[in-house]
Amino acid sequence: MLGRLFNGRSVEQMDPQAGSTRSNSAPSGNSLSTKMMTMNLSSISDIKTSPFPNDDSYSKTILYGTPNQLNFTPLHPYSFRMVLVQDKGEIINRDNHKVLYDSSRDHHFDDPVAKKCDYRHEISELLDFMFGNPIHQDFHYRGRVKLHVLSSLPGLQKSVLLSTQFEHSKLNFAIAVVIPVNQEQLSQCIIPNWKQLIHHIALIKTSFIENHVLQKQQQGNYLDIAILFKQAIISLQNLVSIPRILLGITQFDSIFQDWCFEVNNWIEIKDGARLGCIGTKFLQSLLAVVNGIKDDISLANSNNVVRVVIMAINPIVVQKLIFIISGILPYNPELKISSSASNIDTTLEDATQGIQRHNPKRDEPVSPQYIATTRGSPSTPSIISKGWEIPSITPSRSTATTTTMTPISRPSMIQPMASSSSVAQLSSSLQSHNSFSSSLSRGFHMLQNWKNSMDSTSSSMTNSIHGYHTPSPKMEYDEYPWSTTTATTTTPCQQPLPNSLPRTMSSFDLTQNMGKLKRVMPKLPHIGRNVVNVMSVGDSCSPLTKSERLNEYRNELLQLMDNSTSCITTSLEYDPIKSVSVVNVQYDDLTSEYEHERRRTVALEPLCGYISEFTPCFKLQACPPSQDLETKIINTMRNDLLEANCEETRTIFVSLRAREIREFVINKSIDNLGTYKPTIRRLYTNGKPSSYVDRAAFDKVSKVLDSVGDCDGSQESMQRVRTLLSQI
Amino acid sequence: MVFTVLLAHFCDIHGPRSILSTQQTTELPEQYVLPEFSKESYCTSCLLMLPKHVVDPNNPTTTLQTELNNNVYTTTQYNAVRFRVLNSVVRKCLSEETPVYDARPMFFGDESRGYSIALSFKLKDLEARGSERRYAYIVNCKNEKKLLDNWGVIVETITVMIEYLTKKSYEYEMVNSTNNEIFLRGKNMQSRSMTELLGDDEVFVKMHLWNAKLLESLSS
Repeated sequence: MLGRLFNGRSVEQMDPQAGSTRSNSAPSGNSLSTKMMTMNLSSISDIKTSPFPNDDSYSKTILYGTPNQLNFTPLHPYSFRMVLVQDKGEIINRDNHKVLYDSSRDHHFDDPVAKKCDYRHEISELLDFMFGNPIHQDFHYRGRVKLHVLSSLPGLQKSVLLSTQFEHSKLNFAIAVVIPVNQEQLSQCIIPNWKQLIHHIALIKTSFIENHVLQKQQQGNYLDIAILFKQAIISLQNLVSIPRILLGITQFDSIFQDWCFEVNNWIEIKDGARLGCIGTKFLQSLLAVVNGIKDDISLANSNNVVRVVIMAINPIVVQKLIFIISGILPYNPELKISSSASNIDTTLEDATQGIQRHNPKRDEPVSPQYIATTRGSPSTPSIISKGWEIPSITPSRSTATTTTMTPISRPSMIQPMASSSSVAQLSSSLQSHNSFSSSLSRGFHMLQNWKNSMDSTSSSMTNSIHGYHTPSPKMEYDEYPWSTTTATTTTPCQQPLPNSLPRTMSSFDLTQNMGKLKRVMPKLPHIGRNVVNVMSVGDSCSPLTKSERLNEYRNELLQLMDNSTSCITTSLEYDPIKSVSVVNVQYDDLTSEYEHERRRTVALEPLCGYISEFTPCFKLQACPPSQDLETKIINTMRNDLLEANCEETRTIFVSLRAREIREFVINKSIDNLGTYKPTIRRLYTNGKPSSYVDRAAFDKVSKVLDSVGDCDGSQESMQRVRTLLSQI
Repeated sequence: MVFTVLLAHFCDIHGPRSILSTQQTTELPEQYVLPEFSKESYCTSCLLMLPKHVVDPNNPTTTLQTELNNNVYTTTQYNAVRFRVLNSVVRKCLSEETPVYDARPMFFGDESRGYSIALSFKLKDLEARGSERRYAYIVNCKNEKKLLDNWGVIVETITVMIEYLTKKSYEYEMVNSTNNEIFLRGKNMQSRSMTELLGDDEVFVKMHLWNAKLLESLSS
């Protein structure tokens, strides 16, 4: 392990910037997996945390409930500090404590600008908090993490100390971490991430015991501790800066329509279920799998550690998948979200004017000219700039199946054949574009019109236009190559026309034919939130600031405490059982419930959208592929088991490109003790779910998705979907 | 989820003591009513002093109760249901930890004794050891997450109360002080209740109401 690796080398020699500190040995039963500790300090200072990475306004709205920028608390990495101290048990000795490691003495953590004395507390102050009263020590509390607010320093106005004491080999130790946040930031940085912070302290403790207490060959070399500390800093930086998904917003009709829409789109386009094609059952399988662990994902009080990690390249596509997944996850009931919330946030429209998906001329056939101008292509071929005449009826091989519901021939809308698959992919790419992230159905109509018009021209011209105005289908890496899988199915022309509308048609109805369901940016009540917390839902008043809240409390208190204004009435009541008198105190409370509600913030669970790399602290996330992603995940899972109350850790690993779902499970069973070898099961592979997928859940999810396909946007149909959703 | 609000005092004579304990009466309300108890192990400074006009002259009066929105909140000298656990929490806060008495919050706890947010403060009293009396406001809850989720409400509500108590005691001391601090050195210390320090014999009743409002907001 690390101890052996670092043996004989000083901190200076083992500069983490120089290379990785990987260990390839299999972790022992309780050992710390450190394979992912390949980072350097400069990476901490260089972290540029920007909210909404890769997110367009639509994605922001459906995932976070608002297209607006979210506030987050920037943390200064050099103001963090960690000390590791041994209590020598010599109470009468002034030097009772031996500081084994202090990050303020580690040159890796030196702030190049500020003076140390300006932002470093005296070690004696930290020791007082870490060990408490040396005479009245309470051994029962050892192993627990406690929190103290530290005094102000010139360069560090506010900070808190997280500390824990522990005993090993009859020696007493304590770890303390100074985090540079004030009390107001506490509710955004520390409280919602308490579990993760405790986990990081547990990792440091385990590494210390393994490498410095048991092996006793790490004298003065605490590089492993330093690396873990850096990892904790980065983790907290991520936790406070990456916006978290707001579960429950599908309770709002406008978002729920979008959810239905995205479900339909996914099934049609990504899973390839169109007229005549059953399509893959990828989405059904994934939702059935997630459904089995949904409480562990979205509820904080679960001891089971679960993660859903989606490996993908295209953030837009995968954000929509995450949005679909979020629709089946339970939300915190304290959010008090109701579909009847009436205060629509009118500021959202202003914020999203430029990206509205509503087509102003949606009743008319959409011309390629519209496509070109909407997408803002840099140059436009003359034929497009002049505008094309859209043929009213396109002579195609599927004219016989044309329905009167749409102005275009339906079967040719989505063709999985070789001739049109590129168009389908093209359409998906188009939808991915920010300024064109409108209804996919409408996109199909536009594309179909476009395609039809191009059919009447030369194919070479078609190709040239593709080259001009769309991202290359090759760029859509996450697009499933469903043309190959559907090659074995019957062609649409050979299929009898089903009675119900295909999903695309339903989507079209949902978006175009229903006057009340225009495909515009979903309108939501005002949601007051930051990256981590939700302060208000449906309350147009902005959340009170801390000083406003304190003033309100002060006024209430003064009213109560001032004898001239308070109206306290008392009455005595004899309690015959206890033979005493009880004073009943009444007070005219002027504070309404509403005011109390406004003060409450609800922390969101660590579920996020697409992030630049795998981050262990998020339970639901999408990240780009990397060579060692699976290794990172498994090492993270091994570290999960260091928690005393964690018996099992589970990760659902989804490869979007390969359309593969795998499940990694590691538990503390006796058979597994000493190895923590993961059990890997393929839940979905080769285009079909495996027998490991819960069949009952799969069927229920299929029912929901079918009802989504039948949803025509009416309240009744949406209620039907909601009812089925609540039953899975 | 059961929250309990405690006002603890580090008595010069008796050490860490609970002065009042407020909690929501969830079931069997009679069990929360405190029977008569011996006052021998209490002094004026660590006893819950009720105003004379509310005390029953014929029976011992031990319990304050208030109903808010159909919830009943009970305040007693010590907790009738979780006496041992909460006494341990008081001891932990005022004796085993290092309180700083400037209303900075502190968090600690475990599964068996619940989790606590504590804000310690001191009031000037020339007749006390070190010319100050030390108190702690503690909110205890069995559920760690629930307690931490309400960090803001708890800390702000209690901070405001501590601000008031500190200011009021200072103002009262300024008006009533005889500037005999030096003279009193070497004299036997006297126990003084917070009611005396603030010149308000209803202060514990008002604190009971404030605690009830805090608990009400935590339970909503």
